[in-house]
Amino acid sequence: MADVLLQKVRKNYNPVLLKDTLRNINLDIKDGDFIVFVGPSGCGKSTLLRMIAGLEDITDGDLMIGGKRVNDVPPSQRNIGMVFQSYALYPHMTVFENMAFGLKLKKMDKEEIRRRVVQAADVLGLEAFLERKPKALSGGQRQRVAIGRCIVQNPSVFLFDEPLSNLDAALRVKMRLEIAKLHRELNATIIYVTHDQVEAMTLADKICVLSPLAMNPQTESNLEQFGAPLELYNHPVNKFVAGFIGSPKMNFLKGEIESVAEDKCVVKLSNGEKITACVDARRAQVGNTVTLGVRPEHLVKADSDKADGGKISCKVSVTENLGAEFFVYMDCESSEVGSDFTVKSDCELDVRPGDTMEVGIPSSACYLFDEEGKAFPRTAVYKRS
Amino acid sequence: MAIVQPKSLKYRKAAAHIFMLFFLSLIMFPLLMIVAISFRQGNYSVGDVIPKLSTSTLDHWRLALGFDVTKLNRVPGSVVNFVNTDDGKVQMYVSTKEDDSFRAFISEAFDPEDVKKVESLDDAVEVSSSFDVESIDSGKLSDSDSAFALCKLLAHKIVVKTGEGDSSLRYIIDKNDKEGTSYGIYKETITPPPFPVLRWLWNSVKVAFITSFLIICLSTTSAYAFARMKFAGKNTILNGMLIFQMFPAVLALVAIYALFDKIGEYIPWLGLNTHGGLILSYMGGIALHIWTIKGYFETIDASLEEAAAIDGATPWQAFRLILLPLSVPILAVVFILAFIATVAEVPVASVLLLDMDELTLAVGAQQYLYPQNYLWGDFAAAAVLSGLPITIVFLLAQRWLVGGLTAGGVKG
Repeated sequence: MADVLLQKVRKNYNPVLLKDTLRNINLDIKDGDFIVFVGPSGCGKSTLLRMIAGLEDITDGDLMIGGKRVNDVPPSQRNIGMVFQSYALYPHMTVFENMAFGLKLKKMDKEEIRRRVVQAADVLGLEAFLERKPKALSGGQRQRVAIGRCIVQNPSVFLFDEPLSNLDAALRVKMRLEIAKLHRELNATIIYVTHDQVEAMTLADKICVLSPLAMNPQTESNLEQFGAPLELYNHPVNKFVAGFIGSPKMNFLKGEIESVAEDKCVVKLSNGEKITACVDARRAQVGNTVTLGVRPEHLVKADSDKADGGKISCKVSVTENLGAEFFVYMDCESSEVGSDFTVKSDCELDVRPGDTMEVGIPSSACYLFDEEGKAFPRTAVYKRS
Repeated sequence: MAIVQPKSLKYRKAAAHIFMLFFLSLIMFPLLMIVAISFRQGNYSVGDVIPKLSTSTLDHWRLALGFDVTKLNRVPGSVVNFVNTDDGKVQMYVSTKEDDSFRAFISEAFDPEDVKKVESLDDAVEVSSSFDVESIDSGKLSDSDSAFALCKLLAHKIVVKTGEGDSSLRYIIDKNDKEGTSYGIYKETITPPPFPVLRWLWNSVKVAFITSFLIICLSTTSAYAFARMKFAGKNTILNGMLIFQMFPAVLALVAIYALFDKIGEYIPWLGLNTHGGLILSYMGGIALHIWTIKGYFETIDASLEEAAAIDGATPWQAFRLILLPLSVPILAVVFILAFIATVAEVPVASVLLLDMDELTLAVGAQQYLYPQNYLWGDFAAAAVLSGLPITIVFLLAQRWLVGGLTAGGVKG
């Protein structure tokens, strides 16, 4: 088991065009952590994973695994194991041979190979499939063989590249739990890439959010935030992270600062309504343009006593009743993104498209971001009950 | 098909099948012609497609496969008679007019009863003869009826040998026409096979196998580099190779000759008139094969080799243990293509190979085509022989032309 340290890592695919894919990535991954890289398409999370694996060169910066600088070390000598999104099982070999391949290359003793493979197969429930070829296995079984292929090598770092994205929804949940179990049992350092934030929030010890450099080419680093899941949920450092974590996406409302207090701030929305937010906005001035963020799941009924931040009234566009949840999509003039405003409710609401609905905003559920998207520190966190 | 089709499909299908059959027979026609020619008596290129039994012969095939052909040629102006000896035996007296000179020879005495028992020409009794013909006692000569009867009795059962050793000739009595109204003397001529056709066949097969194997080695490794590695000028080299190969080797025959002449001075077994040199000259024709194999490699997901690299494989190990086993179909295809091209190749082989024994079948078969006298029959037999190794290789390679090798390896 080993730590992974990235210092000022930069990746540039095409020096002629001078377009970086990753810039100034600094990550300190401790031994035994489960780290998840998330981000939208094109942000470079798979590239970063492949650089740690050794499948891509590192243009600038240092990569240390277990204290040793491994920029120029080939993948087979880095003591890592990788599970690919497309499984990448050897189709002409049986499951046993797939898992034994790496050990055979190391010229290990046959008995030892057999012992390790059978042990890994037991852990993953593959004992019955050892003599089958990959084409005779289901998706979940193939994924487990891919994981087993890593386990037998006893690597110090496991790398997963979107392993669950090719599985159906039910299997995805099952495999997610198995991966969590695996982490506990092996106590291994795991780096996991995904675009699914449910996986990120549930599996990770720490999440690393990356943004595409194309979105903001002049930025100093495209690593937006690195922290525990709830840290990212409750205290995102900027609008990008806030909008990325949480599904459905956070609602953003345009407005300007009306008054600033030590632990509160009053924001006047572009449609005139005033909302009180529990944020420390002292570094800004009255009149500055700001964005108010509030999560769909934190919105309450307008007449509820929790609605101490303010109220907002919009026209209902679409409603979705999933049984367990109720979504209302509304049109709101102050919304930053088109006119979308989403409300997520646990109980059924009696609204129809076309109605005008008033929702309450708890002041502790508000997020505030300045003109550049940087977050103001929150002084309270909303707890649903 | 699951899609609902209009009713006219039945007729369109029938029309398509009829067209296919017609097209196939059109393609098969030249092959049937060649086979017919190889069975036709004489060396003509025209005649029936399906050979008539009366005009068919296996002689061309005998010559092609290395057997002597024995023919009986009528000796012109020959008269055969019999001299009765005192002890009841008979001597055969023959006078002929060969090469405008008059010749006569008389055989030893023999008993016709002994000869009567002979069943076939292979068991014929051989008697020697001498040219020392003393005057014949006309009283001892058989009359024409007895002579005719004796001829009929002895036809194909007795062989009269004149001369000694290499200059010996064998004479046989045979009918002059199918009904047997008259008999004459026939000289047995033995034609040895003019060319070592089987040796040529072996040369062709040997050269083709080694060439195909080496071409596979070179083109798979090159294709691996082009498909998987990044290096400067990759596209330039690929396209350049293809363009250069568009020029046929025929244009460079003089250069090839001079080149191998020079090489032969330093490395004898790679020079002119050697199979090594010929194989080396075929190594240049791999651009198309590289393209084919490269295209196939690109359909195999690179993540398989990345997984192998993480498992500890060197690029060579990943190539040999992962990529090659999955590429077996394309290797079989390239092998067959290279084999066919090598067996059928004529220009370069005809320039590089000089000795009769070293020729390949494609080049050697042309020896039958003397400028004033195309021996079509023998040529056809050699041509059909050259198709045999290709057919066998093709049939054997079917085993490896399978699909779906990468099923289960990667998702989507």
